[in-house]
Amino acid sequence: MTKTLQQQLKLLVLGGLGLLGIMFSLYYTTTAFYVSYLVVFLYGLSISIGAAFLLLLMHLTRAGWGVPVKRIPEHFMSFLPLFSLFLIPLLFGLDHLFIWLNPVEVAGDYLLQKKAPYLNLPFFIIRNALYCIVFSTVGYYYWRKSLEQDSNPDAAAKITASLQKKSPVAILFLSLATSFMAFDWIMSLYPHWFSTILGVNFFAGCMVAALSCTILGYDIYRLMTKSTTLPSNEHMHELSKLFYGFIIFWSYVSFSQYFLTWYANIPEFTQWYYPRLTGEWGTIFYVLAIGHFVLPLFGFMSRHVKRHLVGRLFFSIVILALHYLDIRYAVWPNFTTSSHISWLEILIMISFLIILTSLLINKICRYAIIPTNDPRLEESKHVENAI
Amino acid sequence: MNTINEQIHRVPLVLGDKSFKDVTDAIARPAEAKAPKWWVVGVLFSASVACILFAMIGYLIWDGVGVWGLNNPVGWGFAIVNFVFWVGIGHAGTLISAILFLFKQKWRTSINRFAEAMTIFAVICAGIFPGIHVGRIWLAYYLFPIPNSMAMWPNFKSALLWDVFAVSTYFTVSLLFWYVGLIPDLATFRDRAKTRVKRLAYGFFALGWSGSSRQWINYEKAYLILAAIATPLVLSVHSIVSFDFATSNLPGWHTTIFPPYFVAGAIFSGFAMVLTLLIIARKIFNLEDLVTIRHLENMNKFILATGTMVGYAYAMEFFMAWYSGNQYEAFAFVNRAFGPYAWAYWIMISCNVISPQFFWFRSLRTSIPVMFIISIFVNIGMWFERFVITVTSLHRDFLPSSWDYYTPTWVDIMTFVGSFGLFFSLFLLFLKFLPIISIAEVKGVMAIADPHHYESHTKKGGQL
Repeated sequence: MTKTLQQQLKLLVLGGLGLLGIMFSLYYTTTAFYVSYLVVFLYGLSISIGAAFLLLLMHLTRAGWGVPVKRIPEHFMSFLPLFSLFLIPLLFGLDHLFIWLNPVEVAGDYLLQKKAPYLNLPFFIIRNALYCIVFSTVGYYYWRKSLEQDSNPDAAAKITASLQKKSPVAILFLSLATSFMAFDWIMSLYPHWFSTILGVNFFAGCMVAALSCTILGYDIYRLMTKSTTLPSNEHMHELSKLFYGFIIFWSYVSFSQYFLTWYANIPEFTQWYYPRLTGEWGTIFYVLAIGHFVLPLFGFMSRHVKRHLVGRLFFSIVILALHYLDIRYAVWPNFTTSSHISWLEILIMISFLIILTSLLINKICRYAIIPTNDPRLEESKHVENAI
Repeated sequence: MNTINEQIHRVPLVLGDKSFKDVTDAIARPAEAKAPKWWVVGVLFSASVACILFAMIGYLIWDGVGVWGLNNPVGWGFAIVNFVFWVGIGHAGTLISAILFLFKQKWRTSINRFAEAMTIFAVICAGIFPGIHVGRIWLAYYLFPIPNSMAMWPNFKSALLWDVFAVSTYFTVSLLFWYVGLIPDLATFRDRAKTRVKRLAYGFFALGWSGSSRQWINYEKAYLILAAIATPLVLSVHSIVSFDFATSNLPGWHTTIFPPYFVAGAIFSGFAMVLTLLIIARKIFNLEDLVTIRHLENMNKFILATGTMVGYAYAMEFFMAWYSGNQYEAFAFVNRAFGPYAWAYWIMISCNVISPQFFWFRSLRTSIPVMFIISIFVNIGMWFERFVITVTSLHRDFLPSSWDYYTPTWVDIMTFVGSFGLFFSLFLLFLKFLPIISIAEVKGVMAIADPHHYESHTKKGGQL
């Protein structure tokens, strides 16, 4: 990689951090800042968590097809320790986000008193520290070890074997951390509401986001380098099938939550959906149902679309955008009936985008994009989708 | 060479130095040889047990639903428990044949036929229960929207009606899928048949299969499309079964995780049942080289994964029952664990959550006696799961004065036992008359199916 590019990227990261710092110093007393920051934070985090799940699943199933498309998700996964740092600004605004931290609210609310053993500040901090430890350890360790294979061909097979061996335990911890993360940062924003499927729902969103980023990343890479051999269109096709599957899975889980709430019509459950089905958010409901389910269900089903660059780019971008809307839809209606996005949120998003994209480009340029020493690389070259 | 533990290098799916003919011979033998004594005894025995089922149904229809142990708060007992149990078992087959097919898991070829057959028989057993529990049997056709034509509208908003559609669609597609897979093997049986009757019978169902490449192309396309249709169906069937409970507003039934949790549980129980039967069948028919210990280990991994998912769902339900702060939710779960049905709850937890955890260890995962015992435990546990969900949520309803304890009568129990008779009768017939492993598909994943196989032999000294 050229020195100048590296310096430019460094400057961009600093610029992004600076922008974030300015936003924080100007608006750190407002609820709008923390809610916007939370939405952007959860969005970025969900991509990294999804990437970690994708990688762990590949190890767990000893998948042979995915070696040429594992580096970019690995880099996404390596951002997980970084998100522990990005969590810190949120800690300054917890009382803006959570009404269960407000003693006056708690004093007048029987349910909040009952939930106090779980929803209290010290336990909340301890839990989040645990999530950060789990995310960072898994993310960093798997990334590190994979890169170690590049420089140490003799140990490559051993490393893969050891990563495979550790993957079930890692998945177990990651699943628990992801579920409770979703409970803490999404469900407890409206502490009267509860839904047992929310952890699975958040996981589904993570997978969708990570797969669209992976597809987008590799397609841009293929466009820029004009390389069509590795990853080949067959690998992109395999990724797209998985992507399609998880879009349907997301729809299935979201539908389960909505439908069972609607059908039983119990106030404890419907109160969460009520602000989300009326007014502006009611429109977003249909946007999500159509854009995140109906459109890809029919549009992305065909083999030809999955094997076509434009088809893949279109759907990965649309789904990435709608995934952002999905997170906004979970968070914002707790605070306002307006679905409009503020400049503040856009600027926070831009700074995150600048920081993470620069770091990603830096990593892509710095490390080999094809893990040459991976023992399954040879097998993955022969992947094809005959029919 | 290590032929079992697939760490990095892929290991062969079929062991022993087998030719294609050896495979065909091994799989065709049970259908061609004279029926062994154990088989005759087995069929007679399970057919007599199946007769108990029909006798019980006759008695039920003659005397009414009062012969069952239902009481006022528990209006739904063994009938729904057995229905969900059998439908759940019927999930492994299509999962193995459709979902694992889409994921290109080649090891499925040795077990898919077997699992699909089991699926179909399990769904047949399941279908009996909703049909007979309607009370007025002469109106059983109301299950289908036939009364529409009489201007009487069934409740289309009822999950029970969706069940009828879901299960019958699932049965139809599973049967088609199974049959399409069978066609090339039926042709093999036809060509090997020694008697005219056999040749005509197998020939009729083989649909004139000749094995030409044009037929194969169409066949593989059809198989892929059926797999793609069957995949969402597998997931939807048990989701809709879960709606039977979850659309209500009863604590313990109404919870949003039910659909994926039921699907995971169904796969869990289905794999356990396949495992139980497969361990016996591979031993009896000497198929240890086709269904290797690695196939069984993979199934055990599935059992561990889905068992842990089920454990996750139990934990989430329990956590949310407390977190909700809702006294009725909390009561439903505390009552499950410590109420009068605590015994059933702890059987469920120990069989479903604890017993599969032994599979974390490779030595236990590859030990035949251990996996046989655990698979039995899982079968028991999954039956009790449905029992716990159904009965414990009902028996102490909102009005404490009407609380009651549900005890099944001998008719309930014998009906359930009888359904095993039906299941095993069908299964034994399958073992005797049809290819229990997909001959064509297994040949496709053998090392000698690779056109370059003999080249690599000379070059690499026989290493695969």
